[in-house]
Amino acid sequence: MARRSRTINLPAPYRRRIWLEPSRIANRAAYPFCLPFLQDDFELSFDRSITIIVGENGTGKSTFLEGIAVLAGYDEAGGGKGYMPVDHSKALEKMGGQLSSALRASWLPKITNGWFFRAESFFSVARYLDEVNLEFPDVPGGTPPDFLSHSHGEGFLRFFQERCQKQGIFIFDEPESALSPSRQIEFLKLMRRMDNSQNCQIIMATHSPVLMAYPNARLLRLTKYGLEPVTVEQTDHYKVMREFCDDPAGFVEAAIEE
Amino acid sequence: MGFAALYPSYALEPVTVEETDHYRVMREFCADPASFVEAAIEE
Repeated sequence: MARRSRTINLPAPYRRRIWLEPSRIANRAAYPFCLPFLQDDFELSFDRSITIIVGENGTGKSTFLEGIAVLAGYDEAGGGKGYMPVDHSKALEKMGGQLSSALRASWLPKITNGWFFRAESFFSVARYLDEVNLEFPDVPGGTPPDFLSHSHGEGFLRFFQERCQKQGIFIFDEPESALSPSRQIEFLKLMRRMDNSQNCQIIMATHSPVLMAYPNARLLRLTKYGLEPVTVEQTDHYKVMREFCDDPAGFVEAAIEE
Repeated sequence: MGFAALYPSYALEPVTVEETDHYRVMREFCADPASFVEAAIEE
């Protein structure tokens, strides 16, 4: 008989700290271990339920999240514990798993429920969930979730709202990619509900200033020097957006001039 | 039956960037991020 996981009566954050164990790295020159921020003394403490990571493309945010996700027991392609909906056996880039082998984590307590959301694999995961429920219509609660018949943004939101209600650790890699500004506000509301429940930990990477501005989150900027606390207003993302809003036509004209 | 007849509430119309909801939301947000988010997520 399958064991039902019970809710543990301790508040998030459950993952308290992550650090690099240099002795576990076979080849320092190989990716992902050559990422500049992965110094020997690299560590990250989680002091809030919600941690938001910002940074330019190429700094290693996604690889870092993959590493965190694999360490939590999720597939690096996305999904929850035990889900392997994406066949990436022939993928050349499977970096999160490699990175996780050199990471250590402390928990209070260890939580294995949750979800690793990646925009790029959302449709594979959603299709898998739709098909599983179609194949086994008699399973309790087995109504096909039918995520894919909705618009992109609506499917995302329904998926989040359904998956993010229970205690767990939820890792989001650029959830804004399918969300219009108004849907990003809906996503912020979901974050607020998860935050208020006190039994959800969120670790998220985003390029969206709107999501970065979630109150009471720990906002960190990833650079080649490591992770540092930052305010929304200090991020390049916000500065660019504000410049654009002041004068859209002038901004674009100047930006595309070669 | 044409698209407009099938979907009477949807149509394509010329618009400027400044007239879009996307831009308006972004501009409001940029003016005061913290207050904007606090007001927007109040339920």
